[in-house]
Amino acid sequence: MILGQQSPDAVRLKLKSNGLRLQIGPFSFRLISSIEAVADGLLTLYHDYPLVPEEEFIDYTVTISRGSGLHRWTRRQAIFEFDGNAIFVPLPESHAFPLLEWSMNWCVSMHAHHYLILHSAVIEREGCAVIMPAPPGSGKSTLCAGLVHRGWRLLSDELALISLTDSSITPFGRPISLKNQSIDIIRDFVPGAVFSRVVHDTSKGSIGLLKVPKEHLGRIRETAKPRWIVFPKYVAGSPPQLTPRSKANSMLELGRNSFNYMVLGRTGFEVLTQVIDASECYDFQYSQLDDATAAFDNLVLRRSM
Amino acid sequence: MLTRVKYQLRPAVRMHWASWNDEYVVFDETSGQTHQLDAVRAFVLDFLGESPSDLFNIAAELTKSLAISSSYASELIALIIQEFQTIGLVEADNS
Repeated sequence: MILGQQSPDAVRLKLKSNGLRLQIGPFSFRLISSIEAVADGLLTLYHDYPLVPEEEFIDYTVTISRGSGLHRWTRRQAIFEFDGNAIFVPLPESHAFPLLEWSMNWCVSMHAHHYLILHSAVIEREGCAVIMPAPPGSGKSTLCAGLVHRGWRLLSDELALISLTDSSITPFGRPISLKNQSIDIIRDFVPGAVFSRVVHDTSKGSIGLLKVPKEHLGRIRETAKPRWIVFPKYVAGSPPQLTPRSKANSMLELGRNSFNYMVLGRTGFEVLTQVIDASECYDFQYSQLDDATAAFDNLVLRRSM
Repeated sequence: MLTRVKYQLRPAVRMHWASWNDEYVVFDETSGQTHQLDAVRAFVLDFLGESPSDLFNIAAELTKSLAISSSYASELIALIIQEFQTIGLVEADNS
């Protein structure tokens, strides 16, 4: 059964009581919150995700609670709690849904050490994955959102989950977090795109979360092999430029972008070496999504030649 | 000016290598640190992994194996050893 087969009232009731149990890629979450914005966001964006039966094991329980101090009378707050502990500083209640997304990322990146985890977008075509690590502001999520609506499959917008045994990448497809001008860029580029309510004045500016195409979720158990590593950078007015970059330096950059490379020690080094061995490494500068689409399509064509 | 002090890998260092063409990456399992090296630095680290050596010997080996002029090798090796000491891979052998 998927979330969309539940009535909105049933979803809200579960969130407020024992929790809404969702399967997202390889992880199961129990989500608890009485904040309306959390229920609204989940109903809008998680319609096609499977529910986890009551008797099955849950990996992470995430609670987004209302603050209980004096603040609740003046400025309502949302607090992420994990195992009874508040992990982040409280945020305004209007930020509750992005906070839920960040909290789920935190759960996985801090605990799922049976993967090498990179802070990176990952997309796939014909079984081959592009890993796109990049700092905030580089246009990574915008590029990812554009490409997954032009023939590429979303594996993740935030976390590359790399197998420690065969270096394949497991999808963890969740809504794509777009910021500021990127929201309207993708609204124009993807007619009919479904967004969460845009939340303003977060630490990252305005945030809108973009729904994952249903057909991508249907393939969420299909892994992909790393084939390209692309470091994207949005530069206003720039033509598309795909430039080969050093494999050794790419490896160090991926290590820096990893949440648990140091935790995994030698295993992390060996897995990352396999990823680099299997991949062509590039810097990619762009300003237009149509240009970027053509450049990425060309990667696939060149591979086939 | 080169001295006859011998240098060696720090005993705790456990190196693992990866390479692509003339690019090298070494991972020290003990510290968890990963370093990118060029061919000359990779050669020096590998050479010291065989046995402790002084700067004269290493410079001579660089000249012989990598065709680097002896004057440049002498300059370079002092710098490289200092870098390796700074990142905790190499130490003076005081035995």
